[in-house]
Amino acid sequence: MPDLTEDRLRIDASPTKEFFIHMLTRDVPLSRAIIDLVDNSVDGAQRLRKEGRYDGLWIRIEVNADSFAVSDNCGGIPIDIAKNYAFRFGRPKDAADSPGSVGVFGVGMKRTFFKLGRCFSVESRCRTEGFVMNVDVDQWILGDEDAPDDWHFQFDSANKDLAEVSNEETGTTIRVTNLYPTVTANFALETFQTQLWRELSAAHAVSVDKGLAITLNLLPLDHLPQSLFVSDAIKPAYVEKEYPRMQIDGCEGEPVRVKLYAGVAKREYQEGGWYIFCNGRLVLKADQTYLTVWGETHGLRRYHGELAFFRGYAFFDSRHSTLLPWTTTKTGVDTDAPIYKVVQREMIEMTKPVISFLNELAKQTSADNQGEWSDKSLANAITTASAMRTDNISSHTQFQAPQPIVRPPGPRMQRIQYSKTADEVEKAKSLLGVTSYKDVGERTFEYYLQYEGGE
Amino acid sequence: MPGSYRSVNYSLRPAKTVERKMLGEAFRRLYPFQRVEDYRYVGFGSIYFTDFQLMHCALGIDDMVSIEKDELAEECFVFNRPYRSIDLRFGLSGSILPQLGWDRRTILWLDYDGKLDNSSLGDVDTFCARCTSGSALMLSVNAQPEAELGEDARNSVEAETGKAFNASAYRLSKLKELIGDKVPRGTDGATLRGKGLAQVIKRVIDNQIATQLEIRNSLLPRPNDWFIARSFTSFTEMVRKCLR
Repeated sequence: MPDLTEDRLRIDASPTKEFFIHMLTRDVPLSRAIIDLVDNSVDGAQRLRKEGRYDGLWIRIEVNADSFAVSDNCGGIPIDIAKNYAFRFGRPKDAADSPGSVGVFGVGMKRTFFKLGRCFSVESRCRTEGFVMNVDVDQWILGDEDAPDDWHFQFDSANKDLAEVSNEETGTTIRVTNLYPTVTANFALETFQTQLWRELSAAHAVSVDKGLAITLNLLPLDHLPQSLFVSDAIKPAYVEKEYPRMQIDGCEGEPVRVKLYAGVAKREYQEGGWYIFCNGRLVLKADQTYLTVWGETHGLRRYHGELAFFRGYAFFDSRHSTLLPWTTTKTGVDTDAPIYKVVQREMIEMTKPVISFLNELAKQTSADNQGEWSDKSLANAITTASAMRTDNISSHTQFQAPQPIVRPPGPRMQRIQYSKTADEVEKAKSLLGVTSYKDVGERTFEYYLQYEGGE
Repeated sequence: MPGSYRSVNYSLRPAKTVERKMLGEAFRRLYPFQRVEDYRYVGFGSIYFTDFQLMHCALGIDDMVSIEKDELAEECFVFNRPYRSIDLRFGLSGSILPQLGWDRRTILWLDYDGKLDNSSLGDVDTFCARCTSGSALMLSVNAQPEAELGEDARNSVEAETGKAFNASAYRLSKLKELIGDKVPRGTDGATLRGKGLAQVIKRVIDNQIATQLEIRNSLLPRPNDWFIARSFTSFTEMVRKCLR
C-alpha cells in the first residue's frame, strides 16, 4: 500500500470496517435482518427445485438469548461463490444473476452477522464440496499487523472433492454467538419471537404454500394462502401480463411476469387491501394507502370500513430480481419504477368494479338495517361463496357480482318527527293498544286523516 | 340529483345541435386510422340519445354504448333507444368504463352535467390507460365560475373558516374540494372568474392525460410506439384544425 506521507496530493477516502459495522447495521430492524438470512435459504430452495414444489426441504431458525442459528437443507453455498462473491460487501458486476432470487442486493448476510453478534460461523455442504469458516469480528477489525485494512475472511477448511451426497443432504448452517446486549434482550422476549414468527409467516407465505418447512424454535410457520370468494354469482378478476426485459432496462433476458387478482374475501378491516409479492416474497401487506390504489390521487376513495371485504393480490416474478419493483429492504415497493406504475394502473382499474359492488352492498345493508326494503341478493352472494386459493384461479375474467335489483319507487314518502310529553305519549300508546312509538305516530296520523280527510 | 334531462330537452337546443353537427364532421377526419363507421361510440345518451342519432346517421357507427346513471328510469331509456345496437349500461361512468372491453378504436364523449371532479378525472385515467391508438376523447364539464355569494352565505363561510370572507380564497377552496391536489400549483383564486376557471380546468385535464400517457409509454419499446395526445384549447380550434 502506498505510503500516504509521500504523496501530498492524495486524500484518504477509504472506508473503515467500523463504518460498515456500525452504519450498515442501523439500516434494518432486527427481525428484518433475520428474515434476510431466511431469504437466502429460500433462494437456495428455489435453485434446487426451479419451478417446482419444495416438499422435503426445510429451514430451521433458532433464536435464543445466547445464540442464533439458521440451518437449511437447500443446496449449500459453492466454494467459489463463497470465496469470490458471497462475502463481498456489495454485489460485484460480474456475479452471475441468481434466477428468480429474493436475495438481490449483496448486503443482507453480512449486515445480519454484524448486527447480531461478535462471532459468526458458516458451514456449508454442497453435493461434492464443503467448507467451514469462523469469524471473530473484533479480531477481524484489528486485522493482521502488516495489513490492518485488509478486508478478507478465511476458510477454516474448504474441500472440493468430497464424496458425493444427495441433494437432501446438502445445506448451510449459520451460527452467531457472543450476541450484542440489545439483541440478547430482544431474543429473550416472547413478544419479539411472536412478532418475528408473524413476519416470517407473512413474508414467505408463498414458499410455505409450496411445501417448504420453515420453523422458528421448532414451531412451524403459519399457513396463510391467498384466497378469494368464488360462487355462481361472484367471480374474482384475474389478469396476467408479461413485460419483456428489453422494455424495462434495455437488455436481453427473461421477462417479468405479473399476475393480478382482485375480488372479495372474509370481511376483516386489517386484512383488506392490496398484497404485493415479488418472486414469492410478500413485500406489501394489506396496503390501504396511496402506495397501491387508494385515495384521490388515483381517482378512488380512501380505504374505509365498507371496503373490508376487498382483497387484491399482485405477484411479480422474474428470473432477474433487479427488474422487480421492490426497495432494498424488500419491505416496500419502489413506486417510481415504471413497471410498478404500469401495473398499478391495471390494479386501479381492477379495483373499481369491486368497489362499486361493495358500495352497493353497503347501501343495501344499511337499508336493511333501517327496516326498509333491500335487495338481499348481494349479501347472499357473499355468504354463499366459498374461498378459493388464488393459484386455483386460472381463467381470465373481469370481476363479476350481482347487480342490485332496482325496486321501482313507491309513492314518495315524507318523514314526520316531533316530541310530546312522555305522559301524553304513554296515554296515546295504551289507548291505541300499540307497543312502539313509531306505531303511535303512524296510527294517530292515519286516525286523523281518516276522520278529517274524508277517506 | 335527477339527470339534467328532466329539466332540459336536449333535442331542442339549437346551439348544441350545431355543435354536434360540427363534431360529426370533425370525427370524420379520423379516417386515416380506419373506416369511421367501424369505430365504437361510448357516451351518456341520456333520454334523448341525440348524440347517438348523430353518430349513427352522420358517421354510420353501429357499435354504441350508452352509460346512464339513472337506473330507476330504465324502462324509459329502453323504450326511447333509437337503435337496437345501442348497448345500454346503467351505473356510474366510474363503474362502467373499467368494465368495457377496450380492444377497439373508440370515440368517447364524457358529457358531464356537473363540474370536473376526481371521479371524472378517474374516467379520463381509465380511457388513457386502456384506449387503442386512434381513439378520441371528448370531455364536457361545467366550467362556470362560482356564483357570487349573498350575505348569509358569506357569513357562514366566515364562521367556518374563522377569517374574513375573501372571494378568491373561496373560489380556490371550492376548486380544491372538487379536485384536491390536482389544482396546479400557483393557481390564484382571483383568476377563477369568467373564462379563467375553464382555462385552469383544461390545464388540469391536460396534465392528467399527460401523466397517464407517460406511465403507459414508459414500458413501450420505442418512441414510435408511444401514445401521444393531441388536444385543443377550444371547440372552434378543434373544428378548425380538423376540417383543414
